[in-house]
Amino acid sequence: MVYRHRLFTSLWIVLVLSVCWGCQKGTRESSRTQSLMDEAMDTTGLLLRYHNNLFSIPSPYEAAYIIRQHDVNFRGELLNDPNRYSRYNTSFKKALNLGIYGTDLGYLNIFNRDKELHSYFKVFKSLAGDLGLRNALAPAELETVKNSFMTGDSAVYYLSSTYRKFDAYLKENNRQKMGALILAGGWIESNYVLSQMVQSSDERQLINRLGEQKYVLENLIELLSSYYYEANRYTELVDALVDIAYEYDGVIYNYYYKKPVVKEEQKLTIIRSTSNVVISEYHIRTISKKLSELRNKIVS
Amino acid sequence: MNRILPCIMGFALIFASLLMSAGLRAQTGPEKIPADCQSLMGEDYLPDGQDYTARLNKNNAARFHAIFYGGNRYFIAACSNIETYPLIIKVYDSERNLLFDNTKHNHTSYWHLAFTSTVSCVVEIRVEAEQHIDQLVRLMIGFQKPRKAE
Repeated sequence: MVYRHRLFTSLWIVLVLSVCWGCQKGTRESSRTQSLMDEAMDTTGLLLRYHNNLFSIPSPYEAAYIIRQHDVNFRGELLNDPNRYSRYNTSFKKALNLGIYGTDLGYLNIFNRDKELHSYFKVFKSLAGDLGLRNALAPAELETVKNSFMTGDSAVYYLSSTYRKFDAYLKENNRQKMGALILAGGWIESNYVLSQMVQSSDERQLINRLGEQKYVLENLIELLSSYYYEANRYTELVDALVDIAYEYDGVIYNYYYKKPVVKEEQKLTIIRSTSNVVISEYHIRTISKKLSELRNKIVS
Repeated sequence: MNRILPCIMGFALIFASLLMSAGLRAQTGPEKIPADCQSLMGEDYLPDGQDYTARLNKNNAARFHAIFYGGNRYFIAACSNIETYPLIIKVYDSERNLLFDNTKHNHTSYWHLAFTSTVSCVVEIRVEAEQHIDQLVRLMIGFQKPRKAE
């Protein structure tokens, strides 16, 4: 009897303590999370130091469109060979190369190189499968992307939507770093192609676009810097990008604010502020060389 | 009676602890992601391939750093599950000059921005509330596909 009474009393104490501890733990954890969030979100500098998804990298297809607009000859040899797929045996390489092949697919579509599309799409699909991204899409969606290559420009639309779904899926499943690597691969490939085109073209707009990557690269480094200590390969990737960013320090970007004009009926604001980029031949060459070295290391 | 009382209190305590742990789970459990704003975007725009979802900070704001290229037209839209307060969308340049403010346009959830030059911007989404609205907001950025004749 005394034993039973003691058992109930002990059970009571354990329950009370566990409930109290649970409450405190919950409060501690939520206040810690909140304080981390506040600390991260309250930065007032130009770049917000937050490991989530607040840094935007412009679509690699924007560079592809600008190249096409300037009638620069398409150079298929610049794209990654789809036969290299079997070399990519780590998720790190697979994610970077998914970004690279996706960019290449966009280039092929924008430049109407339909013959090569099939083999690139096959690799794109395999890499997405290897990275467990099939669940990001409804079963018929990959087929829609595939079929869209037959109908011209809509393929880039479906491809962009697919990448957006991959990105959302990876973030929702706490795999942000894979999403960051895919974005990095896309940026590296599109700027590798752009820098190679710039070397054989004197089109000012293309040169400017390369120079304007100064701030895009800053965003990309911020996006990847959370994973700097994840593994040596992440460290090496960020270091290589930082090395390119040092070269971009020599690129001058001037900006002048001008009051925007609003066209209410079109739900449109025209941002009339002007900017210009001053980039020397030396910096074009050095940036192109370093981009090329980094990109070739990723695809090898 | 001496036996029953500890039993009742024990069960009451267990019940209370279960309720509390359920409450904690409800507070920290999976949250509904805001609806996708892509449906608001016209067919002549292409999504930029990224998903921008962020939690409102203690000032009820989330900031997205974006680069908009000169000569391009962009579409921006904001979505959330917040029903009680309209979303405020503001776009600033790197010098904090205000480029767009949806409060001047009936709190519209989407808008088009045409850039004559490349500008590094901050898109801020916020709600005007006295208390902290601990919710996710989603931004959509799309760029206009250049026409073939251009």
